[in-house]
Amino acid sequence: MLPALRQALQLAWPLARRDIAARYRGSVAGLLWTLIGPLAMVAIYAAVFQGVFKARWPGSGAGESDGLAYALRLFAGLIVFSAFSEVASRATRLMQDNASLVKRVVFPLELLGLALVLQVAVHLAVQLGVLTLLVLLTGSGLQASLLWLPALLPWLLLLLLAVAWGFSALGCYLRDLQHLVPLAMSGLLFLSPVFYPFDQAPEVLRGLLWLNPLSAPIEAMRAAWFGLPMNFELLGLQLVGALLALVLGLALFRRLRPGFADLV
Amino acid sequence: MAPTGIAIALAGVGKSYSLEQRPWHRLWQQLLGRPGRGPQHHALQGLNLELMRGESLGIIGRNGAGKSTLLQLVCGVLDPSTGTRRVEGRIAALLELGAGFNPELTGRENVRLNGPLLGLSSGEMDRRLPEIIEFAAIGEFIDQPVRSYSSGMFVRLAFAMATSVEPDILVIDEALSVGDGVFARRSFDRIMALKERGATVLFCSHSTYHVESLCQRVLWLDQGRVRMLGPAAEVIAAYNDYIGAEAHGMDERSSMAQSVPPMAVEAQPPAALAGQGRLLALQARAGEQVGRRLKLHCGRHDLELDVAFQVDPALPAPSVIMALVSRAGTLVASAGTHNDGVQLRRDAQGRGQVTLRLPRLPLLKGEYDINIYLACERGLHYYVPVLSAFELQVTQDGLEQGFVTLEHEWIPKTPST
Repeated sequence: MLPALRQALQLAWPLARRDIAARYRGSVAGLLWTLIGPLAMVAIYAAVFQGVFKARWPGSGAGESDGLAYALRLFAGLIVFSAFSEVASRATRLMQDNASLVKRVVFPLELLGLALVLQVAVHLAVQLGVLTLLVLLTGSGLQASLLWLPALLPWLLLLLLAVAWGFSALGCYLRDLQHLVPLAMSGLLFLSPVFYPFDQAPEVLRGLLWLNPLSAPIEAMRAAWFGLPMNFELLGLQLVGALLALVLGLALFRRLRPGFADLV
Repeated sequence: MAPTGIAIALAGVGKSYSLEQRPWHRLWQQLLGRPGRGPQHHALQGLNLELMRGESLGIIGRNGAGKSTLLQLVCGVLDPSTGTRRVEGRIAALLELGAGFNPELTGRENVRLNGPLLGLSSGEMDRRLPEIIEFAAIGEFIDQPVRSYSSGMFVRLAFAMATSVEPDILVIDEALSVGDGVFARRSFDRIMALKERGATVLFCSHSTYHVESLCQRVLWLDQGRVRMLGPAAEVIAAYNDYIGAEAHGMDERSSMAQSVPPMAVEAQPPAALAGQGRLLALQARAGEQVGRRLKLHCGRHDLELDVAFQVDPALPAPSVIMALVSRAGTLVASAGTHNDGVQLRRDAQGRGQVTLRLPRLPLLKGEYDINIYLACERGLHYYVPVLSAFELQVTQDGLEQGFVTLEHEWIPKTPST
């Protein structure tokens, strides 16, 4: 199992690096764009929700300025969400974007999904680094609960991998997904506990949040950074869900794969 | 690796494509694991083939005969719909050169990152890099983004990379026709070297000449089925006869090779041509012979080439260009109506005809192709290029060498004493 994983990573990493390098080649800011985007979004969302709607994060400790505390909690959730959204959107045309690898070269196509996740993982790492920096700068300090991260991040990556496999296989057959998924993602943002904590959501939303596979990772990420209590019921249920999704995604991918070369 | 081992074994291999257009149905069929339902297009059917290590097999046939499909099946890019496939050894596929290249990255980065696709680690690839750069002869361009390469440089680098892995099996799809003359020659040499080192070669080309010089056995595919499999000389002779007979007898099938359009096609209403031109008929005459493949004798025959065309009447009158090429690819002679100051005439539909007359054709022994181009009024943009529109087989008396015999006279002088 482990040697196989190692080998897969060895093959997928150059692809991921190639795409990252190609993406920022020639742009002045380069990798900084992975920061500018999310930070700008956080600033905008925080300004709107905090400044206009007077949203407050319940339980954020006194002594911190409310605006900053809200923005940081927002950022922690948004990091998870944007990783998911990027993987889901790009997966729908993953095979089409790599048509030459699908049609002309013998290539283990599962690795394309892995490479996509690796790319997003790099962005994720950069953003988490900045979050660390911001947390330190604002003086709230690092929490012991950060020890959850080594368990939390692999979980998130597995979830992303499941989505990458499932959506890339379906996207080959159903071209409408390319347009539908980005749209659905902007809706999903408000149905995820990014702007509000899970247990503050209205009853109507609560049921949806239980079904949203992002609820647990977002909640857990925020809990880890800011020392909030973990919702273990939610975590356990969604962890099982994520593992099931991974198995299902891979099975779907393998099942649909023979048709790829004819379709892209 | 025993030298007598089997490299490629195909048993009852077929490939068919679903003609189902509705996405949900395709998805559903694939999920149920029975994509074989509904209307099918059979690209390849019931193919049995065994290839020993070190053997070389040529694949010929007209376009759409299933040649490329077969190569893709052997490479593993496609999975057979029926039958079984066994392939042993490392494959280098020259199907689409540079398929994995990313235009934004430099040549060096691309080579390094493509290593894994060829079954090499980045480290191994690094060691081979100097040799690849050397062979591709692209010098310091290796550190430039691939998008700034000329198409020749791109193909040279891709070829050098693909063949640097010392493959056990080499699969080539028309790759020899790439690159400029010098590189085409060197790539041919490299393929020969790999072959001598014991690589199994699968070679598909429209050039029967290349196939015959490279391969011991030849497989002739016709409409997805094996038409003939045997020693190169026999199969190619049969194939040439078949193509020749077809051209002579005007045995019109809908699917003549792409490079040889049907002898006569219906003229279309001018509206359908919008900015385009097409050839309606091509015919060569010499003495008694009429057709697309002629056997000539040096200096004995007048060769006449009839070309009928149709060009959008809104466009200026087109020009027609003839290029005479030896089988090795050397341009021997050419003629163009624009260059010769000949104005072609057309009717209201845009149709016209022209005959090129080459009196007492002075070609020497050998095989020649004649390419015909229907081009714009200045002979720059080709509406229709037809490679090998005509094929000539020329015989001669005596031992004169070269492509043509020049009119000449020896004048012996008696030495004055």
